[in-house]
Amino acid sequence: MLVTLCLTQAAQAQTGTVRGFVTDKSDGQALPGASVALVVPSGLAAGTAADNDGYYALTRVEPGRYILRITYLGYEPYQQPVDLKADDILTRNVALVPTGNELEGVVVEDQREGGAAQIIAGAQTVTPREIERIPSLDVSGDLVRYLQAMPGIVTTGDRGGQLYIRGGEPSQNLVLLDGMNLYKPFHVLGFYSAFPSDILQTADVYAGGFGAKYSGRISSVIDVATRNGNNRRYEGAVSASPFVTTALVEGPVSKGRVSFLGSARVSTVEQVASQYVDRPLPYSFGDFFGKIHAVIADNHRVSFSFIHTYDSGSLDGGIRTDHSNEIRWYNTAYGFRYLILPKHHPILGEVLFSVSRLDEELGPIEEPTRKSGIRGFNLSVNVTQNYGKSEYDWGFFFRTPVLEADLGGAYQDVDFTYKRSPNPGAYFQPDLYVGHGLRLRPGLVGQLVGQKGFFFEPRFRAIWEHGRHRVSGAAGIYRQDVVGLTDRRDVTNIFTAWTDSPLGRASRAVHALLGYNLQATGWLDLSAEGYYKKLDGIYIGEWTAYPRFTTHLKEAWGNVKGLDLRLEIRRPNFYGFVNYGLTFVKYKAIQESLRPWFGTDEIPFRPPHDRRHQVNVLATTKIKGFDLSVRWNFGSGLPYTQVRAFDGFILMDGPVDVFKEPGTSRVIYDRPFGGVLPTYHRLDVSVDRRFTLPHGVGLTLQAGAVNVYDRANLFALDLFTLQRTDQLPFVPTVGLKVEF
Amino acid sequence: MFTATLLLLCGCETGVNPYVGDSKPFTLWGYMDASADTQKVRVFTVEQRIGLDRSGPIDAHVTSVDLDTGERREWKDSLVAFPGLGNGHVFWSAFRAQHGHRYRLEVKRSDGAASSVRVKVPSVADVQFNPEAISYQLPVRIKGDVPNLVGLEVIYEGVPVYPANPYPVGTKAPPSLVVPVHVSYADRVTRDGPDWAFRIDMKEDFIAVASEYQRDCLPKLIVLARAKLRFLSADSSWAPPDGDFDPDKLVEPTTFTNVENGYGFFGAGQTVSVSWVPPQSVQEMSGYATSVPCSTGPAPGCEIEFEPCFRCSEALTPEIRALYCPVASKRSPGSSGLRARTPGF
Repeated sequence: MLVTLCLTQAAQAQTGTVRGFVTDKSDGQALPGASVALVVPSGLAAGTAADNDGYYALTRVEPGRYILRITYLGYEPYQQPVDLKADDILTRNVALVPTGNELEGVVVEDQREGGAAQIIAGAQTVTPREIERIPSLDVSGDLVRYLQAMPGIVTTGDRGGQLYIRGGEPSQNLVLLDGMNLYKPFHVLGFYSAFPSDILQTADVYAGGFGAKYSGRISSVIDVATRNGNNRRYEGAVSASPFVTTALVEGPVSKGRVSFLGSARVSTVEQVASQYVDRPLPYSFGDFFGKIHAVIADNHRVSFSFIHTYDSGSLDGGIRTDHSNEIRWYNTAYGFRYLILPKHHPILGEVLFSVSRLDEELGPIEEPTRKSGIRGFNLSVNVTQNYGKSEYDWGFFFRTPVLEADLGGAYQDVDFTYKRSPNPGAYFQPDLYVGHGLRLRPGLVGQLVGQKGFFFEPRFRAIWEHGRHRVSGAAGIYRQDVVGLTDRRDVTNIFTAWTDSPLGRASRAVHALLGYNLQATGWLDLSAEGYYKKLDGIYIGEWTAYPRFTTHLKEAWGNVKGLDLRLEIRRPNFYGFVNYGLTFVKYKAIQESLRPWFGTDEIPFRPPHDRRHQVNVLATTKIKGFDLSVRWNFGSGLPYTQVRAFDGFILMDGPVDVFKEPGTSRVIYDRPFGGVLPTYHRLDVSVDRRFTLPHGVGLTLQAGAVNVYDRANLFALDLFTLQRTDQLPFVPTVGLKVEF
Repeated sequence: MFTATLLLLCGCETGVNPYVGDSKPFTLWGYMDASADTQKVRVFTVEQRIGLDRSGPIDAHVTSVDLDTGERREWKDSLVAFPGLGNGHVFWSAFRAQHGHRYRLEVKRSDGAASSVRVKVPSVADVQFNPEAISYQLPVRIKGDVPNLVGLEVIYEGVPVYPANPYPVGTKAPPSLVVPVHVSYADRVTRDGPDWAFRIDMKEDFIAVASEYQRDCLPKLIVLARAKLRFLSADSSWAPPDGDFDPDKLVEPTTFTNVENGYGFFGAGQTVSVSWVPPQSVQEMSGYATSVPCSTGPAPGCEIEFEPCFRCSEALTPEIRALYCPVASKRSPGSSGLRARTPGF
């Protein structure tokens, strides 16, 4: 903080600052990536690009007369003279006027922040337009569909909706929506999440190596920012498909200053889609999102967000009854975000306060056998100080996750828990422009991790750009006290028990990654990124020959190595990408009881999400007004534990009468996760056509299909009964969307 | 598309067989019992079907051979019903295993695959201690060629004595009931030369007995009817890793087994049980009651302190609260409701 204050003063000494927000005049939306420049007759004096909030700051500018020029393709350029005196801090909020809809596509293409091959040290920005290119089961896109098409991100299938990012587990992902923690945001049907593309502004996905601004998780970050509602006019949309029905409404509360945005989505898969798919689809889910955004003054903005999601379903594929062993979970979060540009300091301040809650249950509705929950508030203050081409970020946070679990003996080390795990901390992260295209972003997080102690976590990110080449890298140490325990042996069981580290040590990861991007031509991008993660203090269930999902916990450690290759093609009438992910995930655990069985008590194994090879191919084109999208997805088989045979076990701890002692059933397992399930591949297609009806009403019709060649992709196999549950078969679908 | 086509061709297989198979034919559980006239062994087929139930006929032929005398015996199959769990095959043969003899038990399938085990029945265990000693500490020595002691315990068969004025006043006292409490001595016995030695501590054990009664909501006034020392004098193979009979460890197929080409454990031993009634003075020193101080009917002035097996809380009826809860008592966390049944209610 002291450094920043010094810099603030230093930055202002005999120089001035021009700053502000860039928005779209027609609806008040921020314009991320807008080019902002101060020009003089001899050329450019200073330049920058607007961030996700449309915020820009030009600091350390010599006093003088300039032209402030702001451009964004598809909008009329803004040019106004600026007289800057020493120590001036001028705030210039600019609303750009769109030139017309016909350039909209070009704008997004050329000034996009995202792109399938645009990955910088594990980070990728995803925009709604990119999401909507992926074929889906309804007219609107969903962030999770895009993420599933990325290399290094593994899902166990259409059901369950859990994401394993570069070898990390779902509970190790930090998922934020407008700064609010969402603990389990991916819906039970894997095509959907709490993030429909209609409400998104951007999603920053850090597959690893994330900076000091983020902490508390050891695998990845998905930081989703929603857009603001239209603050000029009322708009709405409704859509329907056999899988979901959605509604969206937005408009001004106070024209030009205050807007609202509301979105609701309710599944119809159980009622409609299952009628024409020859198997039960016992899933129910939905999400409700609301946001109010207000421009309080030129230098104050505030937004309030709320989200509630619900999911229930039976992942074993059977028809649901009152007594079904189904899983249910509910996310609720609300919070506010306050942005301030202090009049006398050239900094951007952000205050985030949110309350989040997840409740999870497993078992019949009336009598759940396991319950778990996590709730708590999150207060964080972030400050950004621009200093020429460099930037200094610092802030502090205070989180108090409260963890509850009643596991009915699910994990004998953790049966019933109630834990409060305070987590205060602070971070500092300068973003230094060294010159010659090199930016360095060292960082440091200091945090108190529950009762485990105070830890420093150094982080480092770097990027070097030279012409068409870009090299980027990142490294860091990460800790996580809140642990999500799942039963790795049962893929149909996605119940997560939330607790603090049960054996006394916080989970820890070390990341290192290095990437290279090449813009081979104006329409072809290539990228390659290798990564390594070292994991300590992760928890797995002890192996036991008892055929039950009740077990002790064992501490494990492991590492992840991988390589992502991406190729992205952008032609005027064609967009596509091909990516390949190679991953090696290895865990190790010590279990004394396995020594007689396997000759060693240190068991190395591939966890069940170790998908060695992944290929994703996307091709989209526009033909005679129809948007055609095709996606093919391939994944090599996931590891699983094979069975040698079954017998019975009697504990011979005394004079046992075998005429009276029935014993217990026993599974004679083979080596843990020594088998490999069949490969997975599938082709999905969709065709959209948008019509403009009178009175500005838009109608979009969609037809599509998932699993076009009806591949029998395995989702789960009950080793005891051989009952097999497959992922979605060939499913044709139609949908419509009306925008008004 | 070439890649896609190639991968498609590679990935056509959709079936999966999770069973890798096991060549071992049988799992055996039991022991040669020198104290029984009938020997028995539970036989499980090792198969690719989960469950305890082995209701159908079993392809197994069980024989035993006394390796010292050459005597060969055929064992008979009994299909034993375990309610709710199906049936199991227990093979038996009517003979008494001889101390010091070696036996070979073989379970053979019709195709020749067999599981077998060799055991040696330990010699007679000679238990030496003085039950008349006027001390609550009784030294015990077990002599003989006894490789292992399994399940060594002292069983205290006590009778809980209910208070003279059971609540509510006038309630009929429950009948006397012998409630045995098992106190393990497995971790208190040591080798002393060729013998096993340990010391029974009745006073220390009484704490365990009383707490067991308390846990079951029985009065702590206990009359000791009989004490019993029991163990299995076991052969050398009856020794789990670290001497710990932890089911979570022993359930692993090869952690504790002596069966050749099979799974399970079949040992040899003799159940030894010695009962005695300690002298009254020893019982009193240990903490037991030796007489019932009051009648079980209402007897004003003859009251035994009776700790109700519940905690005072708002959930109790006013009558119970008036009798047992101090007026100024404060409600403490976790004190809601009855903890367990109260005797006589």
